[in-house]
Amino acid sequence: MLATIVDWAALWQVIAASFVVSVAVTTLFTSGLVLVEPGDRPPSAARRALGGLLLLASVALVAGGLYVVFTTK
Amino acid sequence: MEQDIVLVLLVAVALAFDFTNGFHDTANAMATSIATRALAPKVAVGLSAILNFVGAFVSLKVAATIAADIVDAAAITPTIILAGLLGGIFWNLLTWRLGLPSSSSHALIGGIVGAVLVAAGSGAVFADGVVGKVLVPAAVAPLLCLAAAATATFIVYRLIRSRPREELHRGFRLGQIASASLVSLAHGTNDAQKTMGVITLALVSNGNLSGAHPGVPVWVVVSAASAIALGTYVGGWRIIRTVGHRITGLEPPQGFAAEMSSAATIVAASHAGFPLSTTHVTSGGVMGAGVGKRAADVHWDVVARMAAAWLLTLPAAGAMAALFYLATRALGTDVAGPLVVSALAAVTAGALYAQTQRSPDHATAADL
Repeated sequence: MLATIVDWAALWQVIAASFVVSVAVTTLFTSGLVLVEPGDRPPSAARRALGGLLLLASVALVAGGLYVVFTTK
Repeated sequence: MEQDIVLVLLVAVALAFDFTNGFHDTANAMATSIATRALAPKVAVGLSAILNFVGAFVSLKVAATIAADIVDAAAITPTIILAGLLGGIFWNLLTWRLGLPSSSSHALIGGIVGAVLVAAGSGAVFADGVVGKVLVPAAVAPLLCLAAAATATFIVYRLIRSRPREELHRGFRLGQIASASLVSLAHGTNDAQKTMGVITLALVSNGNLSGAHPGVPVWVVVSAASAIALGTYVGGWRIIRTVGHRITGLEPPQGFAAEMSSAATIVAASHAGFPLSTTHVTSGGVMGAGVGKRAADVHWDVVARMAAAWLLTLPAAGAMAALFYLATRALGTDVAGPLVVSALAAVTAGALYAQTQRSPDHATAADL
């Protein structure tokens, strides 16, 4: 009965999208932060650049997700 | 004419519900940011209020679900919906008094379904819609958010394990301002729509809108957005204290993971038209953040209390709404009953609020 009542396709999309976005954004943001923040010694320019790119990627993923949600019917 | 007076009363009560929804649910977005000191309490609720207002304009799919998929608009009257709203408001106030983050959405839906069951019978309730659009997503969403937040938190702590915590916490606090803002936006998107859906349902049942594909009038969107923003700004400090401090002790990386998972779940569900409980989702996120760091840190006794309130919400709000409807019918469903019952409900709600403000465990922004 549940098989016909519940829109499983939509529900699975919600599950997949939210899980992937949550884990991906958190991982990208944390990795970027770890590379950018000075630990025991200041990070190299390359390390800072890569960290900055990862932080930007986390922002882009959120912005892209919102764009898709807010512009598709 | 009499039904129009009841409709005006209903719109006022619906907006009052929306206010309590914002008031009750501020914790969803901002509790973790306040707990980790990423934002000062007053700044947090101000930011949340603005984003709730903006979020209310983003999508109308949840409003459409409430207006068309839960109960039969043709079989009900504004008086029935009014009783449902009063049931939802009272359950919200009672759980706020107890400091329990129960679901405003389920209180609303439970209230409407309870009043419709008593007034118009089970034939006027769309069981498929209630199960498929409300109950199943309600069960899945908090578990999904818990799993996502636990996984994200576990990965975060693996990545930062050999780094000095204080420097990274500064970065995570900045991240939390963004993630908490996303939760507020998502909350406005999902929750403000529920009130819009109820007012639209009332307009259809009163003959002001066509029942086939009712659009949500602009004045409904603006007034619902304003009411939820105002309620959010007032701030439900008691529930913020429970979510932010009593489920688990939170560090900024956990707060960030919990908020990102909550925002992603709520936005995705709103896009699919599922009117899920943002309270359940964000509480699931906080639990997941506790489990992902160290499961033993989660206060499972508090979680059990919250779960009991969650299970009770639909039937309890439904029972309260049924009583409100029976009282209204006893006094006359034209104008007298709705007016008298609403006035009595307002006085009781005011007394409950005032009594809570005077109680020794009353929480304010300064306590957080």
